[in-house]
Amino acid sequence: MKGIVPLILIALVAMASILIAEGIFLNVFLGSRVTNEEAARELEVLTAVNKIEMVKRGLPHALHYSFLEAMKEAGYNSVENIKDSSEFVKSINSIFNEYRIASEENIGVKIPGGEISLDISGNQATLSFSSSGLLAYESDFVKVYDKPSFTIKIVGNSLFE
Amino acid sequence: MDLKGFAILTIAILGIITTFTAILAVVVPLLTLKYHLAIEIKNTYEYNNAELALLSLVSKKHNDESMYRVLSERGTNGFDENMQKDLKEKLQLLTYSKCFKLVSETETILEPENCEPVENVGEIYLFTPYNQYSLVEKITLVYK
Repeated sequence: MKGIVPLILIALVAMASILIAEGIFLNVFLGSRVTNEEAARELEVLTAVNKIEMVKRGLPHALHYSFLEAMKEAGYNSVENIKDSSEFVKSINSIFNEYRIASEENIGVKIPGGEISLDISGNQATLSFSSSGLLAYESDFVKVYDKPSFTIKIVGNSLFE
Repeated sequence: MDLKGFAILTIAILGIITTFTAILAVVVPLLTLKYHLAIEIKNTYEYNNAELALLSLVSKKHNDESMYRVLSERGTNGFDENMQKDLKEKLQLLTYSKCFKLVSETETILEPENCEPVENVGEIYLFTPYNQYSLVEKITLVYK
């Protein structure tokens, strides 16, 4: 009977050790996991918003560059010389599509297809891009969307900012 | 000390060693993991800060022209000393640092002055004037 007492004591100490270790494990592991996951997701959201913002700020410039390239291809050297505006808009659209593809491939932001309209008055051109779709950045955790529509004014051949 | 007292003392010491080992075995790997995750999050946080500085930079103006155009059209319109000076001043304000460099994939846009910028790294992609080979340029900011 006396020989059992040390064994019971060992068993009790071992059980206490396991319980303490398990308590610490659950507390530290679960607590830190939740905190880290929260922080990681918040940062992922920030990254996504930055990417969308990057593209939004660049879109007017991309449209302006498309406009300038279309002028060059059509042989116009100023806004006043533009004659067949529907053909010209088609040309702008096709060049702008290349920028859309470049955005998706390089930045990961999808620019939806849309319509470009052109209004010319003297040496001033007003270009608008409108779409029913949304700018989109999607990753495993986050999906961020924004409206892509915007209007730019071109005076002479320069973007009016 | 009789045999009974010796046995109890041995059990107590063994118990302490077992407990200590069990706790260490669990806590040390967890703390290591947590340390690495914390560093990873800090790096991403700094990356976002540098990215925000770049986003603010491209919204600012140089004379009547946006910094976006200054940077994206520097290959076609040039990048004179006046533009470089203005760019440096704006970056100093945005990063609270005098030690930074700005590079593209092919060239150094701004060199650091007598220091080696590290820690904060961020990238911005700019649409560039039409070129059939490349329509987007990546610009990286590193500052201390």
